[in-house]
Amino acid sequence: MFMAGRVSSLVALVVIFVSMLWGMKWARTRLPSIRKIAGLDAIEEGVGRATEMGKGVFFTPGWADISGESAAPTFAALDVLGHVATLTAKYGTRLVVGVSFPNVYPLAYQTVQQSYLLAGRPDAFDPDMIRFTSPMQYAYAAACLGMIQRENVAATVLVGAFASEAVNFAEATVAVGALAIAGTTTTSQLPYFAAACDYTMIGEELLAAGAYISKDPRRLGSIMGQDYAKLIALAILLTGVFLKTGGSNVIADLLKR
Amino acid sequence: MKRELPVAIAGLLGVLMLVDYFLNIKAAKTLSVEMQNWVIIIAALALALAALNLVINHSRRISRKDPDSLHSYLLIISLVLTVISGVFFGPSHVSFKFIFEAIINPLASAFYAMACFHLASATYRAFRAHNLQASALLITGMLVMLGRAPIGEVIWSKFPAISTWIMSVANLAGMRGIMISSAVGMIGVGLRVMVGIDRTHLGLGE
Repeated sequence: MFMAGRVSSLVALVVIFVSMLWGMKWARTRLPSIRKIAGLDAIEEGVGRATEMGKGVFFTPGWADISGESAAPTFAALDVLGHVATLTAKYGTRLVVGVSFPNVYPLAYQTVQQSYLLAGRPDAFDPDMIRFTSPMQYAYAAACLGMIQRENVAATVLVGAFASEAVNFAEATVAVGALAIAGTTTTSQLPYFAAACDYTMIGEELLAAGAYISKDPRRLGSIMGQDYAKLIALAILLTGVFLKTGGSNVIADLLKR
Repeated sequence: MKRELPVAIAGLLGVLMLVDYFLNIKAAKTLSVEMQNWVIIIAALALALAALNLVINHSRRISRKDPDSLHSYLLIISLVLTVISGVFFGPSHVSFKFIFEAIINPLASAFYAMACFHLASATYRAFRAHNLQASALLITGMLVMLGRAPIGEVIWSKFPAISTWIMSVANLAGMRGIMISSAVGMIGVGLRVMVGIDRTHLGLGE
């Protein structure tokens, strides 16, 4: 009945889901807290900076679609986009969003439109804020670089899944003197963002953005549940390391099932 | 209904995909393949919508006579020529291949080459010993660079071994830690989207 080699993955998924449910239930009684994430706090600083300077804010949710392993960071990026759009609506700051994949375009459009509506500024929403570029990597990168340089931005928010264009975006931001806030789960691009950007969200800091910004008890509770699931994973990891050192492959064999 | 229906559809399809991935059920496999075909069709519609946005956006710039409207002219002309070439002559035709092999690929290669200079610029700014962590970054970076460049081995034969240790032990351990936590986080995001707790992307707000 079960697909070969996927039973352990199913068990892991169930454990994570159960711990998330437990976290959400616990959060009903007492709101969990997430430690300060400098990158997310800096977004308001960046939008404020752009407002004071009379410049705009550039946002891109990365070179990624809403499928495969880049789906989660793209959804997280859309959460951050909602927050950025709410702030730009509130302060009357110009926002430019560069989107790479066609599937992400309507989601980004709707996110920004809804944010402006909820902020009480539906009149300030301009469909030209959200610009489709290209699903081809370097066409997208060139288009976004052009937007950063020509749109006179004071802050750029680069969150999502990126490939080698990450360093280009970061350096273009530095070249125009803008504040760079980045976040990605792509481990190969993290060093470039960390070296070149003012604020960097590493891995799960980006994925927790929605919960951190909204302070929704269910989301915060699910993040807490995920943390306990990571502790379980750590325990299994350490047990496996000790057993393997002692010559036993029990954990390794179990995880292959 | 407007709020619940998209969430319900997303949740049901998510469960279907999970069932297809983990369980060996023929009906689930058939449904899953059909849904994936539908996704391709919807993606094509999304591409049409996005391309329309592109044309409208740049047409507005041309009609407003923006200072950078030359780029908009170039974009629209390129778009039309590529569409004509692809639709009327097919992707195997010499004209379509020319667009990719003689224009797009060289431009992409040139852009990729820019990353080298941007990287050097980022490295120059990042490698400053202004505090303990920055100093550690500087020293580690220097050791790895000397280990990877041929001149490093000429200076001292142990540099490559040190560099390899840093990359395959210290760096890999850190990266794996980030990958494991990101993987759990991604599962969390997926489950929250399926269950309807995360709904910002649907424009439903809080």
